[in-house]
Amino acid sequence: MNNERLAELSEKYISASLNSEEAEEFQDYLNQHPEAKIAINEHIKLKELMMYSKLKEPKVEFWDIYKEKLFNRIERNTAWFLIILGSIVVGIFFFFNLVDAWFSEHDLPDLVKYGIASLMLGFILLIFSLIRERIQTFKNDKYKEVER
Amino acid sequence: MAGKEEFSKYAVPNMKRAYFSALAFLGSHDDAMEASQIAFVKAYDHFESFDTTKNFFTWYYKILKNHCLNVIRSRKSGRELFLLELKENMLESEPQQAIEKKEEILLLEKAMLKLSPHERELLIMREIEGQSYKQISDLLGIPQGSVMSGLFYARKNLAAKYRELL
Repeated sequence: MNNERLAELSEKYISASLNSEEAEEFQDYLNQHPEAKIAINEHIKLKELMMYSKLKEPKVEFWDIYKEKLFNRIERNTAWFLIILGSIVVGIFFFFNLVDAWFSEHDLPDLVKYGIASLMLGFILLIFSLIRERIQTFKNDKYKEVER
Repeated sequence: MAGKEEFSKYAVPNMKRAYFSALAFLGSHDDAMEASQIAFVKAYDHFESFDTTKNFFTWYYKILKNHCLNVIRSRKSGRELFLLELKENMLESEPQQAIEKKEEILLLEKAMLKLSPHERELLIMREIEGQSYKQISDLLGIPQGSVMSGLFYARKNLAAKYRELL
């Protein structure tokens, strides 16, 4: 009996859903393999123990708090989304104004010009680094096949 | 972004199931609450991509599972986790047996927490939640044969872990 068949028959045996042919086949296997009989009895004992147990339940009041907290989270998430979106739009506006001022302002001291150039370069480098990190994380994510 | 009212029609009836599914993965009340809620927020953000003719929980479960696996990966070891308890209606008339069962369940809980998340997920769905092989197969998107063999190896592993604790 191959492993796949053994797994299927064991599961059916434990859940008492073997038909007569399968029952005979599995009984023969158990008679020939006493260690499998011991193992299957262990599985049954643990199954019975699981029947006495349940997942730990929180207090009844918990569910009201849960619901309230969930919808607060959703609201806050929307608020953050709008704040970030607004910040990006305003940030881009100021960024371009800054670049514009840098090029049109001839009286600006060299030190400030270099400072602005360094700031812009740093910003571009940071974005590039973040994007690269995200790509690497995705490549190494062993759960990426799980649909998000 | 989808309407909150519309989303709540799907989310509210699945809140308890979501919490318990997260608890099965994480073994911590606080983490289960946090993870199931974050998964709901993610589901809300992508609600447009949900096909309303399909089962909401099956769609949500993929988001939840992915999030829980990320939590497990980033979790520091040494935390005390809790998962199971004795059913209230069991053995009320036999207090001595109830004490013994509680002790056995404590060992079972420890053994369960040593399993891989996938093994624990299968055993809890089948034995604690009482789902059929077909229901588990639909929820996880794997063939019934894989559910059965997965359960067989999960039981084998659980028995070994339980034996180690005795």
